[in-house]
Amino acid sequence: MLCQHCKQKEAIMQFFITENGKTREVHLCEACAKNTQEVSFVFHPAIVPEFLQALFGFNAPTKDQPAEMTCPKCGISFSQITQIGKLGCSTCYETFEKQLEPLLRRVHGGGQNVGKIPARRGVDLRNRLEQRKLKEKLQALIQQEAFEEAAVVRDQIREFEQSKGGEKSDS
Amino acid sequence: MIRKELLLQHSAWMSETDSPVVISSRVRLARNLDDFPFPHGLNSEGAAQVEKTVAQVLTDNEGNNVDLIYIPLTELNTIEQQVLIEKHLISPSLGGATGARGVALAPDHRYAVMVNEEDHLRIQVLLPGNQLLESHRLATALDDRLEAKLDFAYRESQGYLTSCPTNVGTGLRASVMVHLPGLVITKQVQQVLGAVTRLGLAVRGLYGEGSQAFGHIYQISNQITLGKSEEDILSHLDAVTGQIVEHELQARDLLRQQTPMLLEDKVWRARGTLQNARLLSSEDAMHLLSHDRLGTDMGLLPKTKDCFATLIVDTRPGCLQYILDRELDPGLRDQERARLVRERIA
Ligand SMILES: [Zn+2]
Ligand SMILES: [Zn+2]
Repeated sequence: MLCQHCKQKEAIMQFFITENGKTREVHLCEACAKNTQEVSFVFHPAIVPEFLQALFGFNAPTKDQPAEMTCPKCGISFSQITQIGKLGCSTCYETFEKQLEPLLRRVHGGGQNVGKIPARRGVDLRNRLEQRKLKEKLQALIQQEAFEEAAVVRDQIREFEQSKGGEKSDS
Repeated sequence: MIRKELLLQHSAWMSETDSPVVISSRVRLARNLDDFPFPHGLNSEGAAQVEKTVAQVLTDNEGNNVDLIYIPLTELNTIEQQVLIEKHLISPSLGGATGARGVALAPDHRYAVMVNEEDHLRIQVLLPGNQLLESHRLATALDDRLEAKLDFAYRESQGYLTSCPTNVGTGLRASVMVHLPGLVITKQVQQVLGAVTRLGLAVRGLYGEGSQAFGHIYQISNQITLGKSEEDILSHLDAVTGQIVEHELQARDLLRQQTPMLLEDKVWRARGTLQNARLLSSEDAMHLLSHDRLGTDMGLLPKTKDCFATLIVDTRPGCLQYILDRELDPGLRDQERARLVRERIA
């Protein structure tokens, strides 16, 4: 690996800098290490691999387990993932969903995705969510015995189904 | 645009704003192509194929109001790569890597999209002052434009899929760069930033090591990317940033009221040194420029020709050598740095 500062000489020193409880890693050559005030640590988003390994290792399968499952698309195994601290491909998220769950909970707190939905590829998903929302609204109105408003929402759902060809209504 | 001209271009985020504490705001979206392994698992052919596919879409500027210029990193020498790092347009890890990778830049550097870093795409928008929401609006619009032509990896339950699970979900990393000399001088910075880390945000000194942040510049960013909406992530960071700004301004008031002569002496000494020094290390420069900026912010010093962020960046080793168009050993660098600062601050 080349020195992260001068990018010319081979990095021989590895620094772990702990700051506000966070540790990060820097690789430097000897000359740059002696002159560290010249180093600019800018926008280094990578999280220290050791930290990630510790997180992954939390429930990594042990070595003596029989024939480990691998990702059908990229061929990586979960123990390889724990070693490099990264997944192999997008399909890994499906393949190793169970193993990843505790890790994602520790990093992110366990919530499900509520963020942006892709404009083009997410059309179906968006329609499904919209429909689900309307159905929940309908249920709530029926419980409140607001039948006139409920009828309006029911018509909205029908209209939606016809135009978008989404999920079939249960009714 | 000639490459040198493009790289030397004044980056939009370095412009002076009326925000006395928040220097810049950044939003970065991580995106990956569904059909390829993540970059670390690509062979050289795969990496080249991803680069070609992505660069083509990025530079298809027809009918768009953002013109992006793609630069393969393999075409840049070490100093040019360092310039991009120092201007916050690429990460040090992209610079240090090998193989097909690059960055698509807008002429004013507001947009910088890294290709084949940790993820296939890292869409970045970087604006001056406190403009988190605007940065996000621009990044999302560019994301939509790219998504119209690229198949991004996405799952309903886990959102945008990233090579590192710490970015999964929104793939959104938002950050602000803040200048906190008041909190440092009044010795409150650890306390305030310690509280920030307990609110689920990450803090780091942008330059320098350990608790010492040269130039008193810190970066605050979100940690959680899954289970929260983009709006929640941004408004949380925005609210905490508002609190930090409040504390910094209170600290400056305290200095003005309780030790006015000490404060005036500090900022005038900085100005005097910057105007007269014959040798300046980059650490010295950063420290003095920070005090100088505090002085101009508080109306104690007349404004300088070049603004704080510009001087901080242009005195970094890579930019300094690139501006002067020659390689310099560290000793000569200190001499040229002092000369550049003398000229710019007069
Ligand atoms: Zn070096
Ligand atoms: Zn995989």
